Amino acid sequence: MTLLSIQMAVLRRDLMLGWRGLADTVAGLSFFVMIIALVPLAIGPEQAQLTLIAPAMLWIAALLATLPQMERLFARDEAEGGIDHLIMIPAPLALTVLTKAIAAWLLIGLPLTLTAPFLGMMLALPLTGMGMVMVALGMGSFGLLLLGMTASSLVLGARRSGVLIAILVLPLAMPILIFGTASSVAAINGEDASATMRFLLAIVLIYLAVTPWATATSLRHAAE
Amino acid sequence: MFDYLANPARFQRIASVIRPIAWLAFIATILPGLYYAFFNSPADYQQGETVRIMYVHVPSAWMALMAYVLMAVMALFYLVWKHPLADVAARSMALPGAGFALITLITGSLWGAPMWGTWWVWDARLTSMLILLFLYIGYMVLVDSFDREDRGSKAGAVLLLVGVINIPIIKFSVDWWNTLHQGASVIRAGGPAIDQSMLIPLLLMAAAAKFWFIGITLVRMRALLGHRRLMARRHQMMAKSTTTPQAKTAGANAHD
Repeated sequence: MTLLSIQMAVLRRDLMLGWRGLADTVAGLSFFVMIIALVPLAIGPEQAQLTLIAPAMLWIAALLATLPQMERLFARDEAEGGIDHLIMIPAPLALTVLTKAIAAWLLIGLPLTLTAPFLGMMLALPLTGMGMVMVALGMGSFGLLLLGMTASSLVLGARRSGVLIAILVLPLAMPILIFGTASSVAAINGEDASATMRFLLAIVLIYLAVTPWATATSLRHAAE
Repeated sequence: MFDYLANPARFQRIASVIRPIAWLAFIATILPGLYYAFFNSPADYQQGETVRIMYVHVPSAWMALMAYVLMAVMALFYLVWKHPLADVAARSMALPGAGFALITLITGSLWGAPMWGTWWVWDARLTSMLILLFLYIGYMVLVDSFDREDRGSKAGAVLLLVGVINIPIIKFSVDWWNTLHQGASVIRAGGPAIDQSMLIPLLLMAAAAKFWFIGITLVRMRALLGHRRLMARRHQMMAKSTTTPQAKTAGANAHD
């Protein structure tokens, strides 16, 4: 088997498992929608006010809705003894981790990104610039999931995992939040968002360079 | 050098020499430092007496950052060269480091109250320090979450390395975010424009913080090493006491 066909097999397996357990994706998405629905209930239904904080709320909701999903990124593998299999696959473990991150993004990040415009409309956002917001959310959620892979591999075998993942990921995710929100605000106001988008891309690329190795190292430790 | 220190007993001997020196150096710097800071340095022409908070605030901020970087260096030694004491050192530095971060935040807030007219302002430095405190908390909770101690150590080490790569990114993001949302902050201490009369107490207090940190880290390392020896001894004794009755029962059964 070539490297590519191995990775395709890993991707197919994760997507298949995700498809069979679609309820998880639906639950995560519902959580995302519910957080957004809380906003008008809390601050009132005035459109102008909602428009003002909508981009920030979209990002915070995306961040919060991704957190509980991170716990199961490796939990199923661990429960079924699959971590050892991942390590034994004749391919660099960091690459396999990256493939799993892409699968996780397709199952968690992409649905979130595709739902965002509708939630934006509920928060009285104009549709102009929504394309850029989606691109930013797509990149940002991938960066988040990369951090989530590392965090989820670190807590394998820990006594507590849900809260632990949250407090590990949130401080590291703040740059994504800062530049993601900034680019979305710029895009919605019709300003030039390219500078902030590039910062966001740069941060995600740094995570792309760092986290697969960290995750792979951590998985090896967990399997010892 | 590192192999030489890998023996805990030898390390303990060297540490027991360094420890009193660190405490003496701490006393020798904190006393004149406090004297200069309180009595022999001028009040700021703008900030008045509150500028004296700087002599605690700034050394704490330096120390908080330095401790985290040191912990990350220890994590590297632990993961790459499997140095057994590096993990003990990293664990021992975490709480003092977090304490320095907390002191920085509290003194920053106390300093901010008369300057900004409010207890908390989302100033870039304070915000970065808050995130650093979160990183400390994450590390301390993580290493403490495993039944197998070495698993916690390794997970913690990986987290420290990821964290230390992130610190410049966080710093940059927060600075960028801050310039976008508000003007320059009031706290400009540590800048190049500082007068010598303020620099002397500042450096003395910074040295005191470092010596205290060395002392407390060595004390905590001794405690942690002692704890590990105790646990290992208890484990041995429990293993012995569980095998003996079994052997007896087996013997009794055989007798029947």
